[in-house]
Amino acid sequence: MSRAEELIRELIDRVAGEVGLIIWDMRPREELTDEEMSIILGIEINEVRRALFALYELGLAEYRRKRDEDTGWIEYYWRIKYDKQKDVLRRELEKVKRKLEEKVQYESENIHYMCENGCVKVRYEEAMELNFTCPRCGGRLEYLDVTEALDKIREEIKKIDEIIAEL
Amino acid sequence: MDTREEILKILKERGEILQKDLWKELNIDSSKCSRILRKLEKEGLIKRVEVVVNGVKTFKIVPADAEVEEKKEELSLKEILERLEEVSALPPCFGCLERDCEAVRCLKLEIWFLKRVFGRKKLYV
Repeated sequence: MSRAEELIRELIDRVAGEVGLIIWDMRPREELTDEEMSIILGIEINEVRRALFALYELGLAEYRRKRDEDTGWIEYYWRIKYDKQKDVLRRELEKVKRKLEEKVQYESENIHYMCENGCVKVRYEEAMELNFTCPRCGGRLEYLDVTEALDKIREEIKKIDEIIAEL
Repeated sequence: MDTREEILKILKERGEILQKDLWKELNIDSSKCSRILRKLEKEGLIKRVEVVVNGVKTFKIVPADAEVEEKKEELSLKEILERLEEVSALPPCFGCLERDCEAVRCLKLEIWFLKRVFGRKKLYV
């Protein structure tokens, strides 16, 4: 499996869950209603719908509504947009990159202290005002060394760039 | 006995039940179940409390007079860290549907970040 495929699967799993992946793997040749999918897959219709709308939110599915002439009910005809997977992946990876850059910048510009028992994380100025004592448990506030974590994240941002370039 | 009565009987016997278990047990569809429960709640016979089971939201059904534990407002960072089992390579932003978020104010991203900070430290202990 290519890296892009692995990532798109992880993305679907995160947003649309296992049912989302099962629908993705169906690779239907034509439009299907949620009810038809539910029958084919043997999965409860509400779960199928939830996963389909999650895929829709991601931009990986679209639907067409049509009134059934016999029942008068509105039917949803779904199509999975396999052709959009690279665009969706690129959008998500670019967002991740942006967010990580924001986080890295903030963490590198601010010094934080954290309670030795893990209750709170506060900025240096606040820690000083608190006399380096945790407002919750009374424990000591200790300097939080994030240097290595930031280096690691910077490397990861580079990797994300590589993946985007490969797409 | 109709479905309403059956639901009330189950609650009387067991004290509480998850909505998702209820409709399966009564062999009715989930939307019908939800409709009946909404009505029962309106009539003041039951309470529906939102809970998360295996990451999926559902309702816990309890008798109307049951004392419901207040949702804990905030968790300490340590508690959150303990609950997270693994650090995925990609941060929670991947696939997050939140629009207009600020990375530095996101609790999920903060947890991911702290996991990294401590995960690495532990390697050296």
